[in-house]
Amino acid sequence: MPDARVNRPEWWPVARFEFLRVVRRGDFLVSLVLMPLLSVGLSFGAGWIANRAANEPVKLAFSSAAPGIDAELPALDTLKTVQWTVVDGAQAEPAALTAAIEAKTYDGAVLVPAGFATGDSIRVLTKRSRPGWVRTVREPLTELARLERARAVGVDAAGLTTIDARVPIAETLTRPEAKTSKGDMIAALALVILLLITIYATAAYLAVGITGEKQARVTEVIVSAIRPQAWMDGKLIAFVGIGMLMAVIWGGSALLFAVFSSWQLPPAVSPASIAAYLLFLVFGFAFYVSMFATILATIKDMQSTSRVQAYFYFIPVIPFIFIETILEKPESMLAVVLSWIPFFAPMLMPARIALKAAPTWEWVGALLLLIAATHFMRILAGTAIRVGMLMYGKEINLPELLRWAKE
Amino acid sequence: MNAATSSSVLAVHGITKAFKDRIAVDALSFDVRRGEIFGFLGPNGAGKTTCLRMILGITHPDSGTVTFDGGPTVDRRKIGYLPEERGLFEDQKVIDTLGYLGELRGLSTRAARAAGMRWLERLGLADRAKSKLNELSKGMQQKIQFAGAVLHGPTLAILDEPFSGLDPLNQELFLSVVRELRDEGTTILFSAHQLNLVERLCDRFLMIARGKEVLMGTLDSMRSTITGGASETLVLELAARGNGAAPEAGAARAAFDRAGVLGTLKVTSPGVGRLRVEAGLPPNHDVGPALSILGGAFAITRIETAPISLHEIYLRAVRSAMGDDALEEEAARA
Repeated sequence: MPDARVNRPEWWPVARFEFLRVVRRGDFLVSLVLMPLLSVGLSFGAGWIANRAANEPVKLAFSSAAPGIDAELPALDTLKTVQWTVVDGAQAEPAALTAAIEAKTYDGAVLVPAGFATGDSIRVLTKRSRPGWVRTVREPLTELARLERARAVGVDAAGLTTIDARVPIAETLTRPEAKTSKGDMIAALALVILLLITIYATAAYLAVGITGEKQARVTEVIVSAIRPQAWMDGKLIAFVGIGMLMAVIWGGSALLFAVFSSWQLPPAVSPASIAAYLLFLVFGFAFYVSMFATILATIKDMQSTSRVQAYFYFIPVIPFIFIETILEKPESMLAVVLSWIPFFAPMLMPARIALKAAPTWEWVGALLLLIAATHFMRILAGTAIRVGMLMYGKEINLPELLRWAKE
Repeated sequence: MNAATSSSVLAVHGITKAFKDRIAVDALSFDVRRGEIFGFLGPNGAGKTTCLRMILGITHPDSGTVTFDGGPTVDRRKIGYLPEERGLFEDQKVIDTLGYLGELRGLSTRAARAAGMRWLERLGLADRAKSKLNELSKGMQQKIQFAGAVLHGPTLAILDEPFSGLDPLNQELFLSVVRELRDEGTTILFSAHQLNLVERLCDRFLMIARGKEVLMGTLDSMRSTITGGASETLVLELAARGNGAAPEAGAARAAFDRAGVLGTLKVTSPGVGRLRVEAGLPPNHDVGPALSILGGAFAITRIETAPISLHEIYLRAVRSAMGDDALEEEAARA
């Protein structure tokens, strides 16, 4: 055979094979394309339903024993989801209204007594208990009572507006550079959500790629040709590539949809912030993939993965428990410490960056720590594969894994 | 003890590996010479796979050294390995799998696929190149696994149980393919339990038990060692002649003694009035006198001579190393 050998990293064929193996799968392609289509479809669908509901207002009969408010109520209904019909005389009798409601002339009726502002109950006639429109009309009716009470003590509508005026508050930043931007906040939140979605979407493929391959007894064939660490590195690089492909397609689709549905450019994001978010997205994803790979490498077969699957869905959510603390007090000791810990950093540090609470040295330091932790995890995952083979089908526990990693 | 020679592709010197309180491989030394087919034999759990993994660098010996192609490091890309515990990507096409395995061993994508195609033609599976592996029979999958192990033209091919799951026709095909591979310049380290096939294929052998060397050498030298020189077996079956006396073990033994036959003698009774005598003889020994004496007294109903088989050598060597009871315990544990 002529020498057809090529010099390239050992992990390269594994990364290429694994990446193509997943992206050529029918179910992957479907989820890759279907997810944005489904999101767009749901958004349009929900909008269409809401629009249709708005165009078909609730028809209510309205009768008032209190003089002069017949004209006021429709004006106070700011939602405009109710079509009011003022009735009086015989038409306002409960029996007549009941018949009209049963005949579907009205969806319901509102009967206002003369003393409604001083405690008499407003009566509603309805076909079933607690219909949604009662909540809708409660606000304008309350406003009506408020105006009536104000009039009773000699305050007109204009006077009431003056009384209700909010106290103006002017904000002055002690550090002008700490001014947050809406774009930064939205981008940080969007990328953290994207990170979570891609982690969940990749976990199943990762399980097949590592535990499935061990179970199919392919691993020993592969690591006879390359080092176990190179095999694991190839896998990790492939899955980071797969995750980032999903992030680009889904994130890009969401951005395009946001732009085209509102015909507005998204709010500006500073280049430094977007660079930091993307770095935390990529390395955060790599960290989580390496951590899951380590767990999967200790498992002998696919049946056993169900035992740890719950962790996969639970673990990435843990940082979210602290997100409120971060948003409320981004410079507190707890926020600073948590955002440095690699496990939390991919979710919490972007939030602190967006809130201008993390200076550059701090997020760069946390990023370097995240990269170092990812490196440690990949070594641990490679060790788990090598040790797993020597254990002849037994599963490895953490103390054994750490002992072998030290060697 | 074997020292590495300039003709050695692989030299293993005093490797030891222990797992917790169990020694899997114990100060094992051997060399595999360039261009030979080397049989690596032993009962289940003897330490063969652990030893092979140390050769491949998947795990490292606690002590001892492995020298490959004259150097202290094993270049895995120059080795082809067919492990005993093997599988392939069932959802992948045959040619894609072979291409991948070739790439792992350092071939370019194009060269790996071309080599894979050549091997499929050689093994009569060219028309299944685009089939998925789960569409193939077990025997076909076995051939694909073999092709994947050797398609890059390795310096050393390590084949662990290559015959398992193969029917006799495919076993014969494998024998000829392995010989062709050797003729093309690949040295082969071979481990299998089908000793009748191994005997026909290998130039030299190493037998191990409980991680230690039990016997090593060519078939002839092992026969000589294990039998103390009586490496041929003479089998006779005797019966009464006419109304004569039935053959007796004592008479048979006396006849062999009178004829000056050395070596082991095993006398059994295959049926009423019949006797089977197995005698270990040195090569080219004249059995005429013994036959004359026995033929004068009894009817000789069957006669055959054969060298002691590898199977027999294996049993004797391993039993003498481990004892019958220990061997059974070992087999049950494995």
